[in-house]
Amino acid sequence: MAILVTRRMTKRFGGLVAIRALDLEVEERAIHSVIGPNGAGKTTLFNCVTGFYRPDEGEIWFAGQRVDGLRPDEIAHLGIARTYQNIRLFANMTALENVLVGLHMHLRSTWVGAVLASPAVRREERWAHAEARRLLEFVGLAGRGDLLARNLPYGEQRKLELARALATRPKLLLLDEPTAGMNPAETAEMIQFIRRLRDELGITILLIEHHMRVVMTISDRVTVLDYGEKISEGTPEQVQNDPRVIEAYLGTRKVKAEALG
Amino acid sequence: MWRVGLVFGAVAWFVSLAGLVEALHGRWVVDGVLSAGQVLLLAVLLASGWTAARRSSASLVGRLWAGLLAGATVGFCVGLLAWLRSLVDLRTMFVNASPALFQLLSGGRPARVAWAAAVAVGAGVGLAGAAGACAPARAVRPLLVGAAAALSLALFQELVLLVLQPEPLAPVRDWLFVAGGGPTAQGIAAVFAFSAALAALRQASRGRAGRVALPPRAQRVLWSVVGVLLLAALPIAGGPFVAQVLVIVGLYTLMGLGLNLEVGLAGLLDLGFVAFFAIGAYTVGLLTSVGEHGIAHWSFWAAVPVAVLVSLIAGVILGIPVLGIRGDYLAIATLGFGEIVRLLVLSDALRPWFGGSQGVLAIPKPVLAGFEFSGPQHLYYLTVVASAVVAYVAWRLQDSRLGRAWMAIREDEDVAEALGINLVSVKLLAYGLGAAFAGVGGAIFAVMVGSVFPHSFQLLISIQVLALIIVGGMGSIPGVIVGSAVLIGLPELLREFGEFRFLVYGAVLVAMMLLRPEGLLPAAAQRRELRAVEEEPVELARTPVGAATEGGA
Amino acid sequence: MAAGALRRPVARRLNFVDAFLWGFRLAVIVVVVWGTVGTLRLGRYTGEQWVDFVVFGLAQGGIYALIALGYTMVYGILRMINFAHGEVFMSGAYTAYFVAAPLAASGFLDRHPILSLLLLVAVAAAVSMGVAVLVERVAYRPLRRAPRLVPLITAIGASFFLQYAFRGLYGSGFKAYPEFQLFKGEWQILGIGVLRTQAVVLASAAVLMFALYQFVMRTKVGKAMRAVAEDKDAAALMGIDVDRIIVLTFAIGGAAAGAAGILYALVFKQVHFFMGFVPGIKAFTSAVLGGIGNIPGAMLGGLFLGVVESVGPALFLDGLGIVAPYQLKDVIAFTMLVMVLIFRPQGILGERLAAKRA
Repeated sequence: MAILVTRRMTKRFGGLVAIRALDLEVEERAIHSVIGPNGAGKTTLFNCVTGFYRPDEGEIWFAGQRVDGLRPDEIAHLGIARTYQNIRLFANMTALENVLVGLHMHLRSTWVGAVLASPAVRREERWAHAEARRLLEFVGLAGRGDLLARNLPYGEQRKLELARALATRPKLLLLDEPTAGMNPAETAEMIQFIRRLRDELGITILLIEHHMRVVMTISDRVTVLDYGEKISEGTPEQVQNDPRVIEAYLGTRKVKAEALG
Repeated sequence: MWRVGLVFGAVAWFVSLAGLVEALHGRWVVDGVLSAGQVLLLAVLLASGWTAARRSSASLVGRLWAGLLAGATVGFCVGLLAWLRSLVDLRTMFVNASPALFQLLSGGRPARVAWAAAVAVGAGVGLAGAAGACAPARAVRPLLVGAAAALSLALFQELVLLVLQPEPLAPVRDWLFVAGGGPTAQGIAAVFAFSAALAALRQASRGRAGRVALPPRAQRVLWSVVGVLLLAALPIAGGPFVAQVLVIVGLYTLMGLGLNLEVGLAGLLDLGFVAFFAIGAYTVGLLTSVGEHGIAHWSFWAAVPVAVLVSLIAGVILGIPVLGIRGDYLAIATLGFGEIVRLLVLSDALRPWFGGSQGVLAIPKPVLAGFEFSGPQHLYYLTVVASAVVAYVAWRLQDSRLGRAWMAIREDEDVAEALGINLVSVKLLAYGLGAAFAGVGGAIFAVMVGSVFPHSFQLLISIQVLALIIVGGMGSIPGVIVGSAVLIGLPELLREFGEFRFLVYGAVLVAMMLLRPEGLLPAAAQRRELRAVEEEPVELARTPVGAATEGGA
Repeated sequence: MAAGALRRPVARRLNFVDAFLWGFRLAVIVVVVWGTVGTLRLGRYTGEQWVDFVVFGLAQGGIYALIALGYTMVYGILRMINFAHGEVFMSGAYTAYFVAAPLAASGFLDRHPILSLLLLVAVAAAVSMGVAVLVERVAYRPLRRAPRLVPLITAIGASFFLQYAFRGLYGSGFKAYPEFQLFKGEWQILGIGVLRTQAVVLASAAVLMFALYQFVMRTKVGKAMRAVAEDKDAAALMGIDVDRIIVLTFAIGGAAAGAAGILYALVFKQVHFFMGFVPGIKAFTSAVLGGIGNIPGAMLGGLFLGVVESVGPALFLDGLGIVAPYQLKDVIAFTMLVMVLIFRPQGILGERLAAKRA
């Protein structure tokens, strides 16, 4: 069953068409990659799905519900979470606090309860702290909770962003270039991790990636965008051999040159 | 290097012509020998030598020479000013260029002689400044501490004298102060030496392994106890004037706690904040006044909850239109709202309700079980209680789900929204609760003054509250208290510098932003400290030898 | 983070926030229309009086426009509101007083009024320019890369400092500028009597604005300024000395403000250490109205604000039966400011700042 569907979705910025009539279906519990040259519209797609932009035309459906036009926080409540291309953590908050913010919508405490320090609130806070620590451990940041997010090394910041996204208990997780800036060892670790997310937690993953090896290794399905349009879709092998994809990435002349040897 | 000297020479000119030197001249640092005005000029000279030495990359001798030159240049400029004065009366343009000033600058001697003397003195003091810059920091720092302590004694001599009033303390008083005048030479020297020695000792003990210091938790308890004792005793020891100052500090603390929710936690820059203070004050005024504008004759205690509620609602109402605005623009928009409120209340058009420029008068003092809170001391205790309650609420909020949501909004609003935070309700809660805190302050203000007029609610106040939060440390509750004490309390105590209060204010703001933008007691440092206590007490033993845990810069 | 100007609607579907905002808009429109109808029906003002209001508004607006140029240029380049710009305006006018007074006393002013005026403008512009550059160097330059709040606080601190510095230097009293005999009385333009002073102010403002516009659009330096405003880093890569351009921007903005100061003194006749605050806010409003970062916009915004402020109290407040409507003229200005910031932060002509990156 498709958990995320876009139908003829179009997004314009002034005269520029960032995404044109996109039909996309992401199967539940799939790891689905979106690739394409720079400027193809991939991050714009994410922004539309999460409600940051409103599509000019078309529809977006999530888990059987129409979501285009909803506010980002409403969409988060429905179970969509994301990470960002250039990491957007809450820099001046600790790692633990970052994750706690991720738990926000699953907590029930009100400000009145907090002021009165009612037992229910205290209980919930204790639970939240424990849960946040568990999530940090899950991503490999055990014991790092009290460091300010901006003081964490790059790799750990990426992990923290993941932990924060996972705290929202998403059904669909949008990962924007999760292996950017990583060395091969870290990349392998991330691949394993993403698989775990799907296998153990049942989360559907929609992935933007430039790292072809990652895409080919991990994806169940790949969609290729170029200039805002879908030019190819299928299994990794199918897409890899699609001449349209090769041309989009490399340009026709170079392909010919290589073909001629 | 004489460029540095010229810059500081310009500073010396400014400080003289703007009247600072003369105003400070009225206060003795050493009675009959050294005035605060002279100290100011000396400080400029020292600073010029210090800066010149710092800037110069030459050898030790070279740097000392640079300092000397810079100081001499400043002295030259000062002498030049005195000489100009002897030629032409500068008062047509510079109103504070009085004869007394030039008497001071020239030391009473004829212009030429004074000029040479100024250059010589400048050179000497500049050299001293350079020496300070070249000497190791460990040697210089205690001296600075000693100087600061001595200056504090001089600046706050009235307060000290007040505290030393009781008879048993007479010998101390007579030793420290000349009767009816300023501090004695031995008094100043003693304070200087004592403080410098303490600082040096403290510094030396830091370098040794196994710090002789209490664990952070015990430290906090100690400071809290000291704080509470001070709070209880100060108004009694200091008298009604000090109590009045403390009430004002308390009111600004209340406002600061409120604005801290908006700016420090949620990152919502609100320059119209004084409007909520005003609303609280006017509500209490209108509800309790026995004069012509009072619409009811309630007791203070019944009026306060209403005032808080009205302020809260006003905060929400004024917050709704600006929900989508961010950053600088939000500051300006809220400034606009604040001014609109003030102008409307001031106008003749609304005079029948709000009393126009004359305001609402005849507000009675609160009465509790037959006891009237008539004096500033009584109101002081009321303010302390109110501040404590509000501070507690603020503290609980900070550490809650809502507080984290606020901080998330401050850091990155879009990401916060993507994590499921409803921006509208969270922002409106910030505006509403912040306004409510201000309303409490306004309520107390109304009964303190006995009347409310629009003139008391200017933009200036919003800016002062913002400044005290920034200087104290954004997002930090102790920071608000410190900020209030420093930026509000100190100037009130130093009344005679009233004219220059905002001059120093502005300079302090700029200096703080340039040097220490996170404030005096920033939030992050405290929270880490707090956490270190509660969760990892073992951490302390692992503190490396010789490292200071506070910013030892 | 993006410029504070761009705003996404907080909620798409109609909810209480949207309803509230619509109510707000409606309330303002109702007040304006009702008041205008009331005033016109009462017929309390003659045609000549309306013309007076408009001309005064234009003159006042010209002053705002010149000051607004400084705000808009600095915001375009540094994305910061130069809170101290009102004091830059004040410093020139206030200092030039000490040139004006002796000129008047010696009779030079009456013998050579135009020359005197030019001299005063030059002095004021120079002083204002100096103050602006000084503030940039001391308070803003070290903080170029600091988070948004820090330069704002610094600017506020600088504003305070300058106000009270000048108070300390020149005193807290009001200083009356000498009158120019040449500008007393009226001229007859197209059969309407126009106060000479106001006409001169308006004409001078127009000339200065035109000159500045040409400078920014045509000259190499002007182009460099626009390049730095678009993209500082790219401009640096093109070999433009960004620091120098920034200083130049402050200098030109300061000079314009200084000139505006003299014009202000001509119209309002008094200078005072606090005189920069309200015109500063109004000038900022003008800059935002026209589209911040947009130079013709600042000019248009200034003129527009000046006229609305002048005509407004009579036009719509009086008709509502409000006592002493002129007390509320600042309310009109601030309301316009607030409405522009809420409903159309990019201003009338639209700002030219880059859109937010996702």
